[in-house]
Amino acid sequence: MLICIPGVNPQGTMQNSWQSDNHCLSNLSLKLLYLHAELFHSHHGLLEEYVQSLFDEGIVNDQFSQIQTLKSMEQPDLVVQLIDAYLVDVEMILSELTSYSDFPDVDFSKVTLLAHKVKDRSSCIGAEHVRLACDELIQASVQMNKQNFVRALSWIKKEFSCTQDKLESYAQHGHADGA
Amino acid sequence: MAVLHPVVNQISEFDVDQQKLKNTKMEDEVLKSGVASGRVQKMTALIVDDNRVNQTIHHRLLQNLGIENQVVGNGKEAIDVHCSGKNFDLILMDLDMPVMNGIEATRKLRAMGIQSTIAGVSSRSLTDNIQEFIEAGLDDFQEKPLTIAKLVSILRKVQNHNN
Repeated sequence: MLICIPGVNPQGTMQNSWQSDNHCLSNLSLKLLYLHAELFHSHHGLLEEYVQSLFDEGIVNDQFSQIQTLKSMEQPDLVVQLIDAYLVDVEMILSELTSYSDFPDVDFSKVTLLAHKVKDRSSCIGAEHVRLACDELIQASVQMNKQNFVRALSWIKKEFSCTQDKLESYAQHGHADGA
Repeated sequence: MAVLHPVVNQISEFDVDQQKLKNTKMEDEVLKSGVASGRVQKMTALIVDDNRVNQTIHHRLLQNLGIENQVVGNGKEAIDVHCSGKNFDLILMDLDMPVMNGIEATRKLRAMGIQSTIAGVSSRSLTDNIQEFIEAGLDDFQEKPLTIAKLVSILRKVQNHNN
């Protein structure tokens, strides 16, 4: 009995072949493996390109590279988990900072501590833009200058929002890639 | 025996000298492979940090270097773990933590007679007035993020301390 085997030729175009069912199973398995490997490498390549773009834009720094070396066979999703935890953590801290900024008298001692927390989290994950934005916020808090504090907070929220989008995209790709 | 702690104008001792690190890269690689392979006596470490992401990163970094380590979430937990009878070659002490911060925890540990190498780690830099942290009893201070190079530098101090 002849069976139609869908396939991809070396030029990348679809090419069906007709084979007897005796060779069908092994050939089909091989072709499926080949297709799977092509898709994997293609996807992995896209992820690497995306990570490189994060570095090129300054969104992340060398610390992010270090983080990526921490994943293991037992925890292939570790980097994604760390990113998710970082994003949740900083979002919460920024929300708390925003609530303080709504008061006429800002508790700058608390706000300074929170600003340092954002810097701490961002340093450890390698979120460079957010880390840099923290210094402005910390300075404004230490100087107890509400106007500067509000402006710096607005800036850090903008940087975080951008970083959040990029890292969430990475995390989505990473899940699919087993990163 | 605890190392005498420098006053503020000797803070430069704690500067991460990147050039020095590069020059001793070979030595560091030997140390890393020695620790990882067990040829160097197995060190133990306590990570004191309130943030889960930092805890995980530091735990994995130490683990990859072959250092057995435990994690606690604040200074009080660090005191409690020592009160339970445990001891460590190295304590990585974060500065800003709830319940008990790194300064208070370091002071208390030294008052208890704990002679482990205590390395302060913080995203605050040396210029951010961390003198009080150093004077509480640190043997070393490293600015976050903690990298393999910084860790190896700390571990060299632990080795020298133990020898």
